[in-house]
Amino acid sequence: MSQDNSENTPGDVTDNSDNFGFKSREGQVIPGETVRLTDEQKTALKKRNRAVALSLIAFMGLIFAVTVLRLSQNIAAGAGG
Amino acid sequence: MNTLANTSEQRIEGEAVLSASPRDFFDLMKPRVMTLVVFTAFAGLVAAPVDVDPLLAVISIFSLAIGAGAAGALNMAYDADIDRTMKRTRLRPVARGAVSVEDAYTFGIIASILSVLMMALASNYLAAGLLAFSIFFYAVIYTMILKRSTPQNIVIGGAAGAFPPMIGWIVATGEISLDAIILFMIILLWTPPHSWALALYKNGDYQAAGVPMMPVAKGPKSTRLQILLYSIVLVIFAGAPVLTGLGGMIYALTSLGGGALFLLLAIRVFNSRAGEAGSAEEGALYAVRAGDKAARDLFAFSIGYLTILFAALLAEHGFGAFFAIPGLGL
Repeated sequence: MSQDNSENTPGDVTDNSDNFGFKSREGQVIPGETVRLTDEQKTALKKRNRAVALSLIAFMGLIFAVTVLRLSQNIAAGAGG
Repeated sequence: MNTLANTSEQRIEGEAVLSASPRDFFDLMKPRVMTLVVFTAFAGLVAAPVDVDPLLAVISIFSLAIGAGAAGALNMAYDADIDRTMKRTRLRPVARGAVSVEDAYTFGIIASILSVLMMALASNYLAAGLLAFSIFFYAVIYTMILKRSTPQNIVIGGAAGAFPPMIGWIVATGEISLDAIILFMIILLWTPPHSWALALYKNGDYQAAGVPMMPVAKGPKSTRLQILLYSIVLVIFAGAPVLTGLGGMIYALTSLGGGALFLLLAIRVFNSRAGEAGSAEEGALYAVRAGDKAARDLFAFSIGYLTILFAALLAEHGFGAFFAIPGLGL
């Protein structure tokens, strides 16, 4: 079952088990599917990754800010009581 | 050759999804609706008679905005089939294939959970619980059950959009009071004339999609009458904050002037033949046939009316412009 990959256009989702697939730790090729992204899709993927990273950083920042505020409020309330 | 994308349609859809940008995910959250949610919630928070830490207040409102956006994403995921049929909504991210249904659900569910947790941390459990309930109400009760089954869909479903000022109030006070319920009721009563005005001039769109909006199920004439009746009740009820002392002179004048104009436009709709011309030619939100202009005008003004009512409360309680009306206030 030979296959010429030059026929595949970017963006195709194709069973390329003969040529690609995943390599195990032992170097054995495990048949699988590969996705070839176009340049536009690669750019979109990078943008999405950046957006997820920024969202996570913002979320951590918010959690930190809320925790500090809540703690200081409770400490102040405790000291007052 | 074993190919996953074995039809051209699947391949195009797959490629479109792989090209989804962060902007597409942002659009899933219905930014225009989010703006009104943030504004009314902020007004509710400022109008409440308790001071809140400004940073915690901002984070709470932000959580509410994310929660509302998450509900919007779940709505777009479920309603992709309807959105694809309607001219007004066919360019939404899921409808046009930029974001897959699965991704929209995943995004919506994760954003829902994070927003509720953040609300619980930043404010109180009652506000967080109500936010969770409002997301559930919009995504499940309204979108999945009511929207496709009854012409009363937006009458009941309107509650989801009415929660934000109440949640804003609860963020500040930690409890539900009469004033919070009044703010909730104003938006609840505002939703039918607002939504039906749109449904009248986009009648053909809803008909094609098979959504039983009032003009589709009961006809334009009955809808125009119901718009007028709801408008009368709304305009009268919008005066309630003046009676409880929540609204002062500015609110009273705004409510009076805005209410008069709202009624005038509702009467014009009642006397028009809006909704009988069929679908609008264009898909744009305000695109309209000549006979439907009255409905379009009421729809556009209804957004302004709600905005000025809550802006008046904001001015009175946030900027020290509160002038009590002698003899009024519970």
